Amino acid sequence: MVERDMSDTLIDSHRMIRFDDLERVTAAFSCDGKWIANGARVSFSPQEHVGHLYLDGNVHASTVHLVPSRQAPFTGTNWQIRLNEGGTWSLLNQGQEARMLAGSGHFVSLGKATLIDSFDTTRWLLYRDLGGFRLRPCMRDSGWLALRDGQAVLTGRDEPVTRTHYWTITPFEPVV
Amino acid sequence: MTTTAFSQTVEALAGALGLWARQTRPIAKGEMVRIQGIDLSNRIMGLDDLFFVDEPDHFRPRHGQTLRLLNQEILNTGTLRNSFFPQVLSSHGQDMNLWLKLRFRGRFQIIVYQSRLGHADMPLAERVVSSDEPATELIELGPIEALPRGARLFWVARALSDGCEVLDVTWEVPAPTATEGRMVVTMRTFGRTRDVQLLLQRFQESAHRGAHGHMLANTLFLIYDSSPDVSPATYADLADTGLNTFVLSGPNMGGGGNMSLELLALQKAVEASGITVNEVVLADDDLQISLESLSRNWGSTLFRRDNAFHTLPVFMKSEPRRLWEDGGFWGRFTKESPRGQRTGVGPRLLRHHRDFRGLDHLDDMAKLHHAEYGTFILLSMPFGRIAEIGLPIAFFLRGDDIEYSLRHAMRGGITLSNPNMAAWHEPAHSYAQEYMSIAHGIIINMAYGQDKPDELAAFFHSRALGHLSVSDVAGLTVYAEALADLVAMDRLMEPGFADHYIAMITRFKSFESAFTVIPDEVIDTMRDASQREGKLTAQARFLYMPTQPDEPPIDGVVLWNPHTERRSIYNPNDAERIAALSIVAARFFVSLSAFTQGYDDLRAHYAKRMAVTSTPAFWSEVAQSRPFAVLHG
Repeated sequence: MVERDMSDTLIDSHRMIRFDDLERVTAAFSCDGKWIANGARVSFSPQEHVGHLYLDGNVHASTVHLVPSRQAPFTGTNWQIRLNEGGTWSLLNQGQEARMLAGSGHFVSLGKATLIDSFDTTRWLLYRDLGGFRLRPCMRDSGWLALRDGQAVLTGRDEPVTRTHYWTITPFEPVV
Repeated sequence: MTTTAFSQTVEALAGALGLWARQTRPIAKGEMVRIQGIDLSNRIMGLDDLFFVDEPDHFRPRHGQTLRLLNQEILNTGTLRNSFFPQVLSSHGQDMNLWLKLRFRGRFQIIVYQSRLGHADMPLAERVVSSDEPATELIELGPIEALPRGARLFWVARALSDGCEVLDVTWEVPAPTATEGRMVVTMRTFGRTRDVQLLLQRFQESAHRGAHGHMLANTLFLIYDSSPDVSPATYADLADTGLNTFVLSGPNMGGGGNMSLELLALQKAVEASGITVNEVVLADDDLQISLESLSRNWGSTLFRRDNAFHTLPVFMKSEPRRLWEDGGFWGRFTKESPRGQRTGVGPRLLRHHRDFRGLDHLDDMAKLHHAEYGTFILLSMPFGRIAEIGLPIAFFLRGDDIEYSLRHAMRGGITLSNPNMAAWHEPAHSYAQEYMSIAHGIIINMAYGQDKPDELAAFFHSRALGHLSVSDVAGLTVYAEALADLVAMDRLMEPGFADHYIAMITRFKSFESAFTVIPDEVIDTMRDASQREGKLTAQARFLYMPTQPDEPPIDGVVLWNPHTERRSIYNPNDAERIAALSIVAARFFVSLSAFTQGYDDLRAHYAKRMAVTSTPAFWSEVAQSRPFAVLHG
């Protein structure tokens, strides 16, 4: 069993992440007792800031930020997850096909499905382990989605995994 | 530049061979030898699936990329370039045990699979390995000869932690016998010095990743550069590559003749130095091949149990998924000559035009594949075979590889293709190349079984009709000259052969000035104008066009060269053109008549010339009093 402290770095005695139970999520899954299936509306929070920061898409600028609330005007915190053939996921901002979470290089944005060097920028791989959820796009050069300096970025493939790479997925409940 | 005699160049080469041999490392019996590693050479966008399996959660590294995997990421080598096809080794190598050696860091699951047509992929071995520091794991897979025929092996690695790195994965065998393991890679070039240098540079870049040390120490690259204006300064950077290289310059005797001079120099130098060379590779100057493929050739031929020629699948540079040839048959099993008798003057290219995507054709590639001939684009043979069958004959270009392979076959040899290797090369054709292909093809057929001229006469007749029907002077001239030179019996395969070819090539090259890039809309204008008048603008390939019918009458011709994308347009009814055509036609038919009437004499004559020009004595005489130089080494 790996020891885990609550600092930024999840370490074991060899200073490496070693969760043998990292599993790829390719079907409906449960999260905090709630069932999240294909088409569900969810929000994403960096695990360090659950309840305080949410992944938000700006459909006008096609940008992605982290915002402090799911209330208006932050309607872009609402993501519809879609399960694709092959077990990948697409994250449609507010259910819009043309505004999916897209990853390329170190950046995330909103956009339509785009092929770069035969890789689809809007297809994501979802994994979970004891630490929570991790996501990465199906892109050759990209690592995991992570929180860096208050921004959602894609880390390099070489970067050690820390708590900042983990996300919480919560079913979206609009707050009136 | 200071030039020397051939003998002095040989002496210098002998010295270089001796120095090289002192630093090669022999292989002891039982020593683990790398047969095949990972091919990471892909530089072409969108071609990754030929190297690694393409799935969303799979890692598909690009050229030179470090193999660092994310947790749960998969590296699957079940592809054309990274499967291991054991059939060549099991059928033509000594009995050997097969191992997979994994060098890694992190935590991995690795599974070795066997794939066969009609069967589900079967796991042969599975391990979970774990280490924070670089570590090695060996997986024994048993005797290669126990693997089923037509099987393909591959491994799949899944990262089970973050920070995983695949340092190297290699298929290895304990050497069944001791060997010096020395390989000489010969290349000859005229005008493609830069291509040769680029290839060596790419080898150097791959070598820096360290996986090919033993093979490279045991390999000498011998370059024959007959380009004008080369000097030692041209090759000054070779010293920085760390590769064992020797470059000589000499007269341009064509690709075929240059190969013979180069091999003659090598033979004499090996004899003078007293060293052993095990394998010699004949390679073109414009091929693209990875160092990994070359390394696989070394691995596949170290423990030969026969003298088979090894060739490889050749893909098109312009359409990198399209296989152009994987060996071939000459003059038979073609559309025109579908049966086993050699009556045609064209190749049957095997696996021609197959398109490779993902897992397409891999089961077929896993089967043992023998051809009648292999191309000099890359051909590997035991060095001692040269002494047994002689040198390539005096063909300037085209057909030298075909004849050499047939000669090898006549003396009990076979030609096989190694699907663990691949090369990319752009096929080309021109009037000059057609002239040489046909003249040499006829000579080959006369020597290798075609004892009557009937089908050959019919071929020439058919070609004539096609070119006459569109008043094509250039095309008809190609065949007229080929026939005339064949029946003259005083210019092909004679000591002065190179000068004759150079003159012919220059002449045929001048025909190409009639071809330019012409927009389709211009052709459409011509075509429409013809149609309005109840006539026809005939459009045809520049060679092998069909005979145009009489109706409607032709008032314009567009000839197209698909290799250059250029076209020639002309009026077929122009009086000057018809006059020129008539002269060529007259010459053509006189020669054709002489060809058919004197076929037996021609056979006897060219059989003698083949016997003479395949000898070291002939090539020594060619080399006599011609200037050579050592450019590097």
